[in-house]
Amino acid sequence: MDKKLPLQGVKVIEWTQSGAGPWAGRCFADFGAEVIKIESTKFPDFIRLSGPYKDDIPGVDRSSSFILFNTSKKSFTLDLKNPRGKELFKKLASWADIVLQNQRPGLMKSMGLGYEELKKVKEDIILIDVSIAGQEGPWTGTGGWGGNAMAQTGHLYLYAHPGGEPLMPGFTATTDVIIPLYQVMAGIAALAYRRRTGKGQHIDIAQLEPAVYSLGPGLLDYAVNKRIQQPMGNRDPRGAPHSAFRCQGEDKWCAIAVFTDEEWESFCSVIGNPEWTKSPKFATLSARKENEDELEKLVNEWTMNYPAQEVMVMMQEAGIPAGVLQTTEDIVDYDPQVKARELLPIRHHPVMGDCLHARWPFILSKTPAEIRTTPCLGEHNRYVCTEILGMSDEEFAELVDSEVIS
Amino acid sequence: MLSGLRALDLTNEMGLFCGKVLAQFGVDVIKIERPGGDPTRYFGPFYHDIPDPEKSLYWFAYNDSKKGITLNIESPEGQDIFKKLVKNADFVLESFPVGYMDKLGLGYQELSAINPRLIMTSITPFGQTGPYKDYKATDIIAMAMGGIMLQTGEPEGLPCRLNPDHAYCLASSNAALATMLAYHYREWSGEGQHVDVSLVECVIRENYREVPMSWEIGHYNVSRNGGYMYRGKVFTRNIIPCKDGHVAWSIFGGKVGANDNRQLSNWIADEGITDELKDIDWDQFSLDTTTQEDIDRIEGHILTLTSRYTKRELEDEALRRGIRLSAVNNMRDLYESEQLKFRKSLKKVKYPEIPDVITCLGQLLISSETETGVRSKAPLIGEHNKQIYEGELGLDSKTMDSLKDRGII
Repeated sequence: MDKKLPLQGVKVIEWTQSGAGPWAGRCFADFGAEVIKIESTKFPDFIRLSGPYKDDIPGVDRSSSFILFNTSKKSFTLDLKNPRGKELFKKLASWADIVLQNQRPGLMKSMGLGYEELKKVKEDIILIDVSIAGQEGPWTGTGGWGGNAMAQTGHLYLYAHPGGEPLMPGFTATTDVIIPLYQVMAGIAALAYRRRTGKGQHIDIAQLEPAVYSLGPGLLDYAVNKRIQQPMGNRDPRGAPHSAFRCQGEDKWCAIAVFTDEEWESFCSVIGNPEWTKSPKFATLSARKENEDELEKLVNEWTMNYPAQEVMVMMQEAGIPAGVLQTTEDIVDYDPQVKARELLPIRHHPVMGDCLHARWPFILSKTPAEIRTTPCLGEHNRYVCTEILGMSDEEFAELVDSEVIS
Repeated sequence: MLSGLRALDLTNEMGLFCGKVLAQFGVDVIKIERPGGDPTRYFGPFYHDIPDPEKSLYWFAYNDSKKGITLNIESPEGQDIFKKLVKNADFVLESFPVGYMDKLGLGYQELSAINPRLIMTSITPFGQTGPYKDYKATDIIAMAMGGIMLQTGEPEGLPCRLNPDHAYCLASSNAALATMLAYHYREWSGEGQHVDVSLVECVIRENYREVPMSWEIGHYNVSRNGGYMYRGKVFTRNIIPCKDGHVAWSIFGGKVGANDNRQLSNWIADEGITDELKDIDWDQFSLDTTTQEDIDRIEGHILTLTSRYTKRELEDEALRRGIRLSAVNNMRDLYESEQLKFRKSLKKVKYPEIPDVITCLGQLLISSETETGVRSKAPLIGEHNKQIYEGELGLDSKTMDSLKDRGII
């Protein structure tokens, strides 16, 4: 490897499904760790079975969803119900620094692959469990997907207009995006701890904790003032106007956020200082907050005459925070910032051909991520057995024949 | 886990949470405020609703476990003091506009000349490069540009951003991770580096379900569907009203959904609502072949069930039956939850100046080896000036007075 990557030399095995687990594995892999993803042909990561598929043809190696979470990894298919499969898992664990898992709470332990068992084969192993509510406790049930996690962590309650019903942010499970960041941080911190003390550890991450951490002020408001934080939608106590405003065209919008008096004056001048801006009703922030419904109506009457992109540029050039409510198409095909910073690089997938593989939203100046495409199901079976586990070709063939590797 | 490391935190509301996360992992984080105090100290809510820069719960929430000093980095003397602090620091966290630190002579090049092992993490609205690099973005602007806002809301209705500071906390979490990646690299290479975090990119990547694939592969843009989701052929509910609020449950086809669907059908039958759902072959059920009419009928029965119970009753019974249904919790539900109690996630933090003891969420994760979470209260304005400036940099009290008089600290 000519290029230096921060996590090179780190060895990870992941037995994870869907989004929140695999995404952490992807970060390890994109930044240089060797990540072996364990699946089986009977039970592949179920994200392989969800679309959209390339050319609308289903197939375990045709899902674009799978690409999102699984770049730069190696795929190894193993029957973990078979005792010999379990033995191979333990052998791999004895090679690894970190084991990542997000199966239903308690499953790994009940299969004889819990922390104590893994510790027997690798004294300083770092096991990172991730789940919605934690491995044990009254809310620990059968797990769930990101829609459950957003609800349980208090996020969904706040995704609403004031007084309105909670809203789904499309199909996006927001807390599934937050949690993988903490899994990787925990892994890096545990490696540092191991360098210092020689000890591994067992880490139990519940979405409940990091996701609620980011709602800190609201939780303290309840702790101290016994007030239950209500959704604010587009409003903000520190600014007005502060919302999305309708622009020329169908379902076109621009968000504008005016906080300071200086920004308010610039804003008035951009919209041509119409008479209403001079009214005492809008002279101060508190007056604008008091008359916000009327203010928003008046701003809408102005924005409706211009394309959203033009509103954004006019506002930004006057120093006012503003941004188009972009569609996926806007972001993928037109956003000049996305293009200039190569947020969506193209990689060649053996089955899907050339397609976009998004990078991480940060750039390390000396060691940026190296994003390689996703593995096909079982693509690295021979590599894992012969190169990592040191088997002969015959031993490998026997494991395939007896469907331990399957 | 990360004890023995130090971060200098110059961030505003966009990045305050980054330093807090590093502090929870054990990093010694020094929040540097402008003399007189940080503007975010005026952000509500406030302790007992008393607007006071020393009683902002916003400040407490994002700055606990940090130390606090004041310093005017726009003055040459302030810059000299900052550079002295950089000598012994591992991380500098900042969220000024692109080029601001360079203008002060405190850019990455200058600071790395003083301390080559330094990692400098910059959080900016659009990143350090590109045509929009000098544009401004606050939380709502990032949610707009990242595409999430346009797909959140009632059909045809006003698009909705998510909770306040959503993008800020997401960017801060990404920044903390990126800082740790750079730290791991430094541990074996000896080299520091500059980390460039883009607020808007964080939201674009949060919008993972759509960008790029729904457009690139599926050729569709997502519209706003209220509490429903578009599943390719049909719309399904994820947020279901109940007696005292909402619960979240989603229908899935095939193996992924079969157990939930079967158990829920039994429950609905046990309630005497209908036996009809028990007759469906859930193993063969697929959202690709089901009609909207079928979905609406199934969901109608579910609504009849949920309208009879509270969210907690529904979740408790669902747990017993092995159904993945969750209450849409609010802050009270969380604060008083049995689960956070069970995990001992809530910790008491002393605020002697108020005086009070505030119980807050103080555990980031459970480790078999070490504590990870809140370590101390948020600092008062300039609380650690003496400790850092006199104790560590060796300034005498006369110099301190003079710096104070001239508004440098």
